[in-house]
Amino acid sequence: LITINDAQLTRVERGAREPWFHVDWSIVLIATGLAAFGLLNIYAARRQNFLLAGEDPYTYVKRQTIALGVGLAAAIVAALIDYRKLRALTGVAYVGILGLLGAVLVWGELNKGARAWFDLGVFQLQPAEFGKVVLIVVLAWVGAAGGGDLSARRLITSIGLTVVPVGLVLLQPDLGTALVIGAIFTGALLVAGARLWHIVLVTVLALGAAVYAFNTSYIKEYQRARLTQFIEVTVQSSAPEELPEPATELEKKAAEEREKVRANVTGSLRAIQAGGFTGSGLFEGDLTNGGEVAEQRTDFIFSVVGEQFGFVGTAGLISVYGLLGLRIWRVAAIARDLLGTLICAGALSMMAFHVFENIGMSMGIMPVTGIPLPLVSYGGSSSIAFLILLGLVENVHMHRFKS
Amino acid sequence: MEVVEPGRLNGEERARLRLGILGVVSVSLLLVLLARAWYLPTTAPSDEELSAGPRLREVLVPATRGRILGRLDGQLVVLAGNRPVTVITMRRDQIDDDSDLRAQLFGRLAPILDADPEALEERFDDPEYSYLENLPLAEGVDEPTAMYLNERIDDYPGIDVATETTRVYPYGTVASHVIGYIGAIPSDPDRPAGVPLRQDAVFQSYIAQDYRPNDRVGRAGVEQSFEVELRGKPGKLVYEVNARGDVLSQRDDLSYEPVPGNDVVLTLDLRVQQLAEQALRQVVQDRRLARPAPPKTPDPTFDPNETFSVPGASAVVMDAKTGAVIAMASYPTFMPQEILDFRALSPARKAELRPDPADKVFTQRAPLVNRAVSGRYNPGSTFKLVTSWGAVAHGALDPNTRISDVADKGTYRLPIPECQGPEPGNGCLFSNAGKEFMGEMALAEALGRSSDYYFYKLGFDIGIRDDAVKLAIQNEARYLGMGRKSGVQLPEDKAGFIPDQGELDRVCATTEGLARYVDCNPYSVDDGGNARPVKSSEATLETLRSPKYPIAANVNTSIGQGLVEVTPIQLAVAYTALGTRGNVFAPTIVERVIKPSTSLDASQGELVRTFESRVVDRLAVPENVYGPLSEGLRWAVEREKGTAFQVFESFPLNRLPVAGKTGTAQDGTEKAVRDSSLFVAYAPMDDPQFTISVVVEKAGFGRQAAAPVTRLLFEGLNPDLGLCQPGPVEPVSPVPGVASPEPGPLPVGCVLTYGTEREGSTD
Repeated sequence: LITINDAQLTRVERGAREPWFHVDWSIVLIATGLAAFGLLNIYAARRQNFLLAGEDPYTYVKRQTIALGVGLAAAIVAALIDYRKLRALTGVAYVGILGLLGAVLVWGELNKGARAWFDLGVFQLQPAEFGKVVLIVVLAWVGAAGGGDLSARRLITSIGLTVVPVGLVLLQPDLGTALVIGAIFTGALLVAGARLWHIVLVTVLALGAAVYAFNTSYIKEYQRARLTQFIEVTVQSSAPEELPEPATELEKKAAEEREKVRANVTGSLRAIQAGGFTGSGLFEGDLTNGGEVAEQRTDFIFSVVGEQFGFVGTAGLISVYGLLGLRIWRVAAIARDLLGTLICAGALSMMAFHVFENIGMSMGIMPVTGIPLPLVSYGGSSSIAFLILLGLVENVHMHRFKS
Repeated sequence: MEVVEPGRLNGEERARLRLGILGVVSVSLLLVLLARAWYLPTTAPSDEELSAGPRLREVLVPATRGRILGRLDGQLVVLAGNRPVTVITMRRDQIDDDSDLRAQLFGRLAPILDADPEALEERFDDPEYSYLENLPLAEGVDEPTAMYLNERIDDYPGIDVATETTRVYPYGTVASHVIGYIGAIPSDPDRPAGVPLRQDAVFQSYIAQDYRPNDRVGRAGVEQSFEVELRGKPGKLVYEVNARGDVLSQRDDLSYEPVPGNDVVLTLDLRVQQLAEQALRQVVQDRRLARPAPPKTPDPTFDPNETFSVPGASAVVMDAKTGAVIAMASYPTFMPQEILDFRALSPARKAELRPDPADKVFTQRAPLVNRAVSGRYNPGSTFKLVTSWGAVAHGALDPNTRISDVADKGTYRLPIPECQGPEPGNGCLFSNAGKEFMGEMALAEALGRSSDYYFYKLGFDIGIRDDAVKLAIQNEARYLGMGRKSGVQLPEDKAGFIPDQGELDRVCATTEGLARYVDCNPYSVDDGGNARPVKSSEATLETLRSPKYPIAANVNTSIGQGLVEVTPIQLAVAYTALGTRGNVFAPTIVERVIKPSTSLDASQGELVRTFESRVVDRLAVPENVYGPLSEGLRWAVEREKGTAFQVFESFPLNRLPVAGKTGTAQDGTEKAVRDSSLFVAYAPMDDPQFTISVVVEKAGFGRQAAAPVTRLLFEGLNPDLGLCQPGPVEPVSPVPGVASPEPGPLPVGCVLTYGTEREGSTD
């Protein structure tokens, strides 16, 4: 090994080891582009409604801009502190986020059937969004300690650390986030050196838990409705569930949920179809302007893209996400240590799952779970969390030379 | 230059490989998304397809249906009208084949429409609704529901919210059988299984006339017989559409407006009509509580507790001058609205209206049947008018001939060898009702007291005469309008049955006829001219065709029993023919068809066509027929031994002389409890203004049910008499299940005067 003494380097060479010298500007550029494109589509999604109501059409754009600003600041902080010095902070963050996830069950706002938000007046805080980021770092530390080999003890530790937040999130209930955590866990575990039987075991356990939950009253009828409804919308010949007269409150809720989900997905599909190849043009979508797709500025924002910009827009957006994934993957590959690789692997898993699930749901090939499209969907907590995540990826990239 | 840390190398290669897997998975997911993003918009109809050549879509616009109007106190009132209604429909083509999708749609719609998903599915399967057209899921939907659905119409594929008009019948049961009802386009009831509706000839004939498959058409009463006038001419909207079915523009050059249907004015006087319905209800109620007197000769089958079943009754009031029907009532009743909203009815009511054939009581009551024109009854003694008329007119009887039943103690014995001797065979003896005997009498008294013996003998004597005379009764019945449809403008009008040779050959030659007329030929005559009873099981076509058949059958026919069947309106026509000295009317129940107008003034309204009074035959009535016959009818009402004397005892006959004839039709079992009560009368006697014919099924002697109703109707027709005054006719709530399908009680001062069973009286 060749050891190079600092003193032997020139000033420029010394500068080359400074973190600020190694910012991956492509990630910054892509994130900025996505956020800007998001703002455009958030505006387009609600523009007509606001104009008709005589209200300020920039209401959501303004709020999202503020969130992005906060997110940018948080991302810079997340990027600058060397990730290898974050160990103590990670522990504190993990405990803190568990506390918040517990607290939200008690003091959270009940919104759309889930107790997932703290209402802070001007801003609604969704701790689960940050929980995902914290868990990525936590799992990275656990995995990195194994040095590329995952012992049974470490596996169990990882499972334990993952199951607790998953449980709390499911109590809200927020199935989407639980699934995202599952994806993060799988991705991190894979790269951390899981054996095949680890993967098999975890998959079997997770599937078993899912089947159990599905067949008992744990997963409520309306949640089941949300998860299964998409099949009926897209594959019209599949057998729907029995539709008895809604008798209990829960059954009624399930029927409403089924109805809502079906309406959302149908609207989204029609909007994307209407977009055709080149789209109907900026602010020109009839279905979007007609308010035909509910939840369009948040979870179904992809349909706004689809109707206005057509296949050109959707394929472009998907490609940009591909490019972002590639950049994160590259950072994972060139990271200075396994910890950095694992942070980026977790980030990549989370990004990939969010994008696939959200766009897939908008195009009717995935179940409807309320998880946002990274940086494009309207949502403060989610946008800030994604920016922090990208900040951490930058962190790994920037500190890959710093000893 | 890369700085490598010692602890790292161990896992590095592995981590890179594993990172590779993660990358491949991520890229695959993105490719799936790209594929779907390509597939979705490109499989939708393209712009070229959408704009390729305009296609035309035709939408039929039904015309506003004409109204049915009746006369009330000199004004016209609406008996059948229209009102707009919001209808939720479903396009069948979208989800016809996909029961899963349909169940899902119905499941979502049911709570909104406040209906049961199964009920919607039932409608979907209901053949009443054509599968060629949009299925109406809910009628009369309220405004909020319609708005709710309209706003979310894209979420409910195939669902439409439309405004249509629906029929309203403001007067409930009044004249319901005459008005009739509307229903689905009929199809051939004999259509073989497997032949689709669209190939059905009957159904096709409607579609060829620009009916939409789900249109409601007249299915009974004037709604049916005047369908062409009421319907108007449907309009057409022609649109240019693209391949996706989006409307591009309307072709004004090809579209045209509907022409509203014409209004139909009935001849009915609604006050009298309502009184007739109330009287029928009252008589049925009263007689259902009554029991017949025990028979003179002990009968082990007689049940002293059995009451009359009285399944139904009918009454016809005809203007004797014009043949116009003033009132036509049938009981039990229904409301036309009930048929329109059949689904909303209670199961009990449904069972009444469409009885299970196994349910004897409901099957016999059959509220939808207009008994006045489609009830085919043995006329019983009311037929003696025809027998007498035929006998005298054909020279077979001198009306002054006196015949005595004393020697035979009121029981007529067929004068054939087989029937002589101490123990004559079954079918040889014919006794007076009540097994009475009355003494020696001429024709008028025989009519007035309704001697059966007299007419048994007359029937046999005519039957053995030569060919010129032997069909005198049957021929006379035909002259008087029996055995053919009366011609009243109602689709239910029935011909009845007059059993002369040709008719019998025709009817009894069919297995259906043999089954229906249980004793299709109760007697056969051997080569020697001797009649002998034949059990119906032994009857062969050969015996039926015996040229000498009428000899024996005439004995039963002469008193209106056996195979004779007439409708109440035919009886009214026949008696009017006597009263008017020869006018045989085809009764009219629709007097005018007028252009639709908002005014209900009787003198207004542009005339489309009018129905003159129709005398289909003008018979010569010699004095030797008119005199004794009308005297006989007067005898029955006025003289103490007359069969209807009790009923008219307190009636001011001096001011309104009534001529009438009772009838008591047996059903072949000779059980008194099965006797149907008939009465036909006209008044004033010398210049009749009204003829009334009443039948009360299985209610006893003529004077016990039918004659009291007739008397009450004469009182109502002549308010000057100061007896019964018909009550006002008010619109009622026609909501099925809320309004009663029963006529109201008789007005105060209107009472039925019942006759009794009494010693020395037959009928």
